[in-house]
Amino acid sequence: MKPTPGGDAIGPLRRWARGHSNELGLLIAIAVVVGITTALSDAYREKPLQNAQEILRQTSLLGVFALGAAIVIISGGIDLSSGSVIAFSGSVCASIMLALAPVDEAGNPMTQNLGMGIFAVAIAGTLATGFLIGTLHAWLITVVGLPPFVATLASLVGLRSLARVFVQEVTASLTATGKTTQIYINDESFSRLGTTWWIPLGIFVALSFCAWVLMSRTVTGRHLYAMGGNEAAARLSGIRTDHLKWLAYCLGAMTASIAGILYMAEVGTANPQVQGRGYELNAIAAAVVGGCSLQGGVGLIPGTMLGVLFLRIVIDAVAKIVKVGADDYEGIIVGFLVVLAVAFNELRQARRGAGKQFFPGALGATAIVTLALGAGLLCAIMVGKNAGGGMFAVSLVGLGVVAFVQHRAAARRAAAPDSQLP
Amino acid sequence: MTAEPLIAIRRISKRYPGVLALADVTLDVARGELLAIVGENGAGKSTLMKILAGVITQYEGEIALGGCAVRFQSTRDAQRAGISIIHQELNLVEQLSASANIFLGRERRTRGGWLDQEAMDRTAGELLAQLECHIDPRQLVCELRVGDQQLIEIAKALSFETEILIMDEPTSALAESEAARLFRVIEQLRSRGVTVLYISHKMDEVFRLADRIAVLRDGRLVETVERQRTDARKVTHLMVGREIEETDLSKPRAPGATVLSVEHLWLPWPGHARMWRLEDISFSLARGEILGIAGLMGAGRTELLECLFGASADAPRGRIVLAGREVAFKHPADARRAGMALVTEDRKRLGLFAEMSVGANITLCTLAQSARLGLVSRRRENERAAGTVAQLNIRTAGLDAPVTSLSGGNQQKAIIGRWLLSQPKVLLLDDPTRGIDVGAKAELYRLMDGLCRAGLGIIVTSSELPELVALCDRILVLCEGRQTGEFLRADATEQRIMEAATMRRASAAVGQT
Amino acid sequence: MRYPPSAICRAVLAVLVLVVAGCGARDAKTSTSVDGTTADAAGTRRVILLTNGADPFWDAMRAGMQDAERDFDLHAAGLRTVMDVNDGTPKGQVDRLRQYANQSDIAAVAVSVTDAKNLAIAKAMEECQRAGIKVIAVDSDVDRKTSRHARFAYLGTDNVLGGQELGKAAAGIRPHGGKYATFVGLKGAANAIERISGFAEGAGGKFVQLENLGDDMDLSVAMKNVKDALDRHGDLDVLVGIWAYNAHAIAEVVKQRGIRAQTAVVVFDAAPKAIGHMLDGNIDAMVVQNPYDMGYRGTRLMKALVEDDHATIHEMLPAYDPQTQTIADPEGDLLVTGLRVVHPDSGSPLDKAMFAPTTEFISLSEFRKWLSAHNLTGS
Repeated sequence: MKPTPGGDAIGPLRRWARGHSNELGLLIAIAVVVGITTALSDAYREKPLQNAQEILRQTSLLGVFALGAAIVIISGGIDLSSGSVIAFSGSVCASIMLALAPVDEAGNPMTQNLGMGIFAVAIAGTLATGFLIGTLHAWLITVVGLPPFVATLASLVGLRSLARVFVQEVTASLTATGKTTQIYINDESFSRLGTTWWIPLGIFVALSFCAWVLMSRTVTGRHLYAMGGNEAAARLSGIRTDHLKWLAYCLGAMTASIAGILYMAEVGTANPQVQGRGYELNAIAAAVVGGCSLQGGVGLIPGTMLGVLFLRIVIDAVAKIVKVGADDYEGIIVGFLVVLAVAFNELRQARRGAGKQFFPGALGATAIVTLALGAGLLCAIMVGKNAGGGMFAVSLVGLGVVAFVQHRAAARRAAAPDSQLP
Repeated sequence: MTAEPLIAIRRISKRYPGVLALADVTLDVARGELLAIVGENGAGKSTLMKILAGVITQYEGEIALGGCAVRFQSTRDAQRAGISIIHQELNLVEQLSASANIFLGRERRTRGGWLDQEAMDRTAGELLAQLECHIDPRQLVCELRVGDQQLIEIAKALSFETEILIMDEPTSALAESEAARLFRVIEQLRSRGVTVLYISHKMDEVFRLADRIAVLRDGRLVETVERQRTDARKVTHLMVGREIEETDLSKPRAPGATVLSVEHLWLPWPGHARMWRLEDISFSLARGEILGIAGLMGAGRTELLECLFGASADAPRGRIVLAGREVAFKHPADARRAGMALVTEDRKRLGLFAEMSVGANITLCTLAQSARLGLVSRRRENERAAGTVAQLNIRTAGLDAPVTSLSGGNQQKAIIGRWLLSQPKVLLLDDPTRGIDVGAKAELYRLMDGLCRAGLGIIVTSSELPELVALCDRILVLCEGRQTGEFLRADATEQRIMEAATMRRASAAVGQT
Repeated sequence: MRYPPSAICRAVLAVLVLVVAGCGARDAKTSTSVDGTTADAAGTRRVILLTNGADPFWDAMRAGMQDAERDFDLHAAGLRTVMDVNDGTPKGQVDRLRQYANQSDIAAVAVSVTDAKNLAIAKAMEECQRAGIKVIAVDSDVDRKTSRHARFAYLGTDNVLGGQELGKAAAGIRPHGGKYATFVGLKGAANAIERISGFAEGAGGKFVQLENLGDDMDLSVAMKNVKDALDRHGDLDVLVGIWAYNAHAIAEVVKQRGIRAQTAVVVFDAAPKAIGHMLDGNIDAMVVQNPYDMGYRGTRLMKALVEDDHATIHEMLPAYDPQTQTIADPEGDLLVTGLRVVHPDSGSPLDKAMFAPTTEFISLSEFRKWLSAHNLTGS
């Protein structure tokens, strides 16, 4: 066979589609969700522009550090610390601003009108903090030899606590009112960083472009994929894996720092107690829905972008349809989407999904009860007790039938192997 | 063949998307015989055996065991029916002891329901002793040599009261002495009436052990022949469907100037009784020369290549001079920059990037040369990869094809191509023909010969002595980290190398040229 | 790529999610409606109460909204009342307000502002106003100096007065003064700041503040704060609960440590647990706001705003000028709801004359009668 670049005799479009089936799938799914929401709720029809802007703004805030999470995951690691890095960075940024702000006659810093110089110093300082946090992670992982999970778990727990102490110390020493648990930044133009829809979007798009160039067009990016796919082989190929990890974890922490600045600007408060709590898992979930494999070496930046957008759109769609208390459902939705996205892929991997028994043996029976209880509970909460009971019964019977049919089919295959060849 | 066969395989087919791995195979195995199953890589040997052992459960066709139709849904089913398989890649839990592995999943219990560790250790010890394996059953598997690990698998199979034992290339990771022990164990098993199905590439083993030989090619059974009525050449012919021309590697080569010299190299082994992985190794390599490194498993062949390449965990002591400059590599990146290249022993674990395409695998080390201002030019990258594919005759559907779609030999060529692109002065090849079929091996030999004639210095290790003898200008023999012999091509015989490789400390001086 | 999921799979799961959500939607319109009726909600617009966190306090306000919804016949006006429970964080409130602004069926919002100093909340309230939603503050106001225009009016307790009454209660129990500590959820909340400064005024110069501790609305932190304060100051003898759940935290610690005899406990609000503690004799006085009244009058005000019912607005806020539709008097946008001082049935040294004339002075058993009349467990 004569080797030709590009290989088989299919068109470039088909080949592109095959390489990006994940992204295409997400695009279609996004279109479907938007379509359904538009049909079910007036909000998209009456205020399309505002809603699009708000979704894009929310997507951008999450997307910024989901990019970092995706890069770390592709390079074969995991960064659990981003939620706390967000809180810590927000606190650092606000503290720098507080320290540089002019003081009123009572001795309290005035943060209404800070000016570009102070912003620049605060943002640079915060990014430097992110760099140092990433460096700490990389050092713990490559030199001390901690697993990435442990190293970043330690900062997940530690950094938030440090930020809380830090904010109290800063407010105690810089303000006349004394120790508080939050820092207020009242500057209008700074808050626009987080609230004007196109600013976070612009930052997100620019960062995505840089990340895309890095991952798909540079030597370093290729080496990150190689390290994620097979770290030992990468090292033996003369790739400086320790340097790459340093880069990856710094990108993870610095994107989280950028997100920390944006979130802090959005609410105008550095509140390390609650800021960014649990966000690390949203970022990882977005990367996984976007096609990154937690084994490393697999995933695309455009996929991650669409993964974030998809998550935010589904969350917003539920907010539009459920209307009140929608964010209580956010965890259910994210968990559900992650499991489904990965499970579908696993089943596709197994190829002969038809022959697979979903509920084998005692595990399967217990899983059926669990799933039916879950469905019944959700239904009971949303519709009412009777409907919940009905849902439980229907799920139980339905899944039971599936299990029985599959079991029978498997037994028949085992008993009478078909010997004819097609 | 009298009466009913023990195993009757009837019209078995197995297809994967795009590939027919097995096509309509029908085969009988008689009770107590040793049937060798040979064929090139990808011929379907392993697939057939996995079906028989219940590893693969989706297939067409049927199997009868002692006259009863069976269809295993799991390896447990197969084990219950008396069939055990020992995979090429061993299936042991490295962090558990030998006895725990042997009884894994069927642990003995005391009356109170607790683990009966003593009884398991005792029985495991007895089983292992029968197999000439003298290890403590409480030792962790990860601390054992590959040969002993394999015997643990066999002991495990025996503890099932196995009637049919399937062995998939059992000697591929063994040194010659360990292989000899394995053959004795196989004879012992046969004397107990165990039926053995034996997959191998190696003709000498097959002709030494087998009663009959089944040859598979491209998923089909070509022929089943009695050992007495055939010879290695005929079987090889059946396997490849053509005569392998005797590769002529004996044409004399003319080594040039010295490119690498190693003086008094010591590699520490912290926390080990032997203190040193390598002790006082000195040799030199010239341009246009192939230096072979022979030695049994654990002799330090891989360690030697790794520490030359700056990839060893501990820094070696001694002097390494590459192209006239003294070097001390701290990282493979340094070695690569200085003109060293290492093709690792374990292709899957240490060489291939399974998620990447053929092209990306080839260009990985030298991607910077296809880049301008840090941005990779796809066009230049593809040109370089295509050049390598053409030069090394790598058979692939295209540069975008997944590297895992290549055969073992072509994967190995892709990795060699990766390193050739870095234009090395010295190429280190660690057992490059391991797990590669006959045709591809010959091609690799020719490739090495050609590279060498083009002026490259090559160091190659191998588990197969005949290969080294045929290929190398000089052969260095290691035994337990010590240099116990060095032979020129003219003096190198398998017998003499073997003697040096099994030599103990006292007689280290013998065998010098 | 290892995980290329098909478009069909994604689409299927998206439909699934929305069907589930759709089920919820139908229900959300009925079950979270505070009046509990199941009338078809199609075409009605929502009047929302946005809380600052989850607390039984809001049940009383919900009861007031329910009664107002019935009394002022909101259904006829195409309105229904809904309570949305925030997660206690400013960001949660900002996100919810932005979501309201982007929806099409919201008529009015009453916000209990989590953090008066947080400008982002005020801005999100202004955004709602730009989207045509009527916004008022209840229970806890925005910073009136900077963000007065973020809401039409504030309806709730006069927290300075409430703090003063609580301080007077403390002075009544400890006539010779004492050393006190205040416990609150968020120290930055306007009501917290006002109550605490009011307390200092009401208690007088004989009282010295030793601590002011915030717990960020975490009950276990609240209890820890009380213990820490007691550990740090051996002479601490007056414990002041500023937010509803602080009462329980204080009384529980006092009970555990057996220091009831030498410690005065005065608290804001009458959470169900606080009532229990007063019955057991662990609380000396409660200054109770009237969230029921806030809910009732807040709903009436929002309905009037939505319907441009100037007469009603003027009736409720006399400073409102129906002609210009503005409030001229800078203090005129406050609608103060009543306060009560609840004292134990027997043995209390407190006296009606100690407190402001507008403040109701009632015993615990009278107060519990009032609660059960409105089917409430706390206030």
